[in-house]
Amino acid sequence: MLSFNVAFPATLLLALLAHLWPSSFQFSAYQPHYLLLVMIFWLSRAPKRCGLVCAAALGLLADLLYGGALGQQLLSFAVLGYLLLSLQRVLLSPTLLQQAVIVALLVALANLWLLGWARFDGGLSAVSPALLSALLSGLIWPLLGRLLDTFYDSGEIR
Amino acid sequence: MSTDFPSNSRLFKRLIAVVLLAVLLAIADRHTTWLQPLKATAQSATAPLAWVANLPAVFARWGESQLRPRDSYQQELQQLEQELLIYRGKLQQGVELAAENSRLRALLNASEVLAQSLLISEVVGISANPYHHTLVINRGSDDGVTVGQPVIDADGLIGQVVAVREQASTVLAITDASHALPVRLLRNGVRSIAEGTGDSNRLRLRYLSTTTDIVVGDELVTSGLGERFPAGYPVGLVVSIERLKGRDFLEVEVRPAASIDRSHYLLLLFNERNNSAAVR
Repeated sequence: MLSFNVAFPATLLLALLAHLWPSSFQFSAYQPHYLLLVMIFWLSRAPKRCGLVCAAALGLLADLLYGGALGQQLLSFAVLGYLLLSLQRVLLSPTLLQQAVIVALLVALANLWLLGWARFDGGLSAVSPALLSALLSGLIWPLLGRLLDTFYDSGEIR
Repeated sequence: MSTDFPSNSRLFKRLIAVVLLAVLLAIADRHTTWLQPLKATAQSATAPLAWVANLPAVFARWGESQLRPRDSYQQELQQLEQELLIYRGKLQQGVELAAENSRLRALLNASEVLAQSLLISEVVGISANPYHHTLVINRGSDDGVTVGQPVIDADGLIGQVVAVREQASTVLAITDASHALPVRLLRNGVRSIAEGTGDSNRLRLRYLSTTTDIVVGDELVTSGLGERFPAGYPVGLVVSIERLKGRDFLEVEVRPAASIDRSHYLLLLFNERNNSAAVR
């Protein structure tokens, strides 16, 4: 088991590497939003250590490293972080399926937000890759969540 | 999921603060250049990460080259030698044509067309934001690369350099939604502006009058206007033309000539007069 101070930067680094994997513009539109998945993991597993400010910081990092206008992903990560933290008050122990659905919805919102900005700037990108990326994120979540749980245990009952 | 959360009102206050910060950053980024140094520094920080992310591809290529039978190398070498011979033959004719063109331009008192030299570079990363078409290449200011420099592949124009670091540069592809470049039709010289769409297989021409002489299959090349891109480099091929009812303009779709999504090796164009020190 790894401590938060080791596990958090390690997951962050892996997410950044996965995003920077040189593929193609077309393929990258279908990729899961790895950094957002990492944010969802830490907000759900350790909300005291990685809360809304942490989510916003990850959004700013995404803005700075991935290109595009500043503030786009900062806003999206913060709002989605807020939604997630609020949702967790209602849904205290979501099943794996519920978690996957929540993840897919959050990633869909984040992708559609980015797509909206791109369309506003005159782009003609299609909606389907954004939705498929969200679906893929939801599908890999049970595996990814379990995998990350094996490396980090907050000690809290889930 | 955990039950250990901050209080509702505190959370909401934090959200409002972050939203305000995001809006301020977005406005500052869109309307000023204050945040450019911060963005450039952050982009520089991704260079080592992009290098590490590229390692599996490098190893895969190395492994493939090790596993390939010797015969196939010999065949490829033979084929390349033949191609080289053909291109050299064509180049001899090109030299004569360039000299003739230069003489004719001198007669017309037109400005001299500058010779271009090339530098091979390798794509080491692409933008992680799928709606932002930028590529990271392994050549930077150490190799004489400058902002605004055109980048091509074997088939046509890829884009232009928008940020330069010591050993890497960022190239904005012509398909990025924020990119536009002056072009002309090779067949009749009609000028237009080719805009990126955010789709790596599509450019568009806007504001062409419905009476413009343009047909599907027309080739587009850089017009040289604006002096950012040298004239005559292939940009794309017209694949569809729509005449929308009630509109005064045509909607023209263009497929880029360059393999923007697939090219691994790119060529940086150097203006010989301005950059004689470039590595060739």
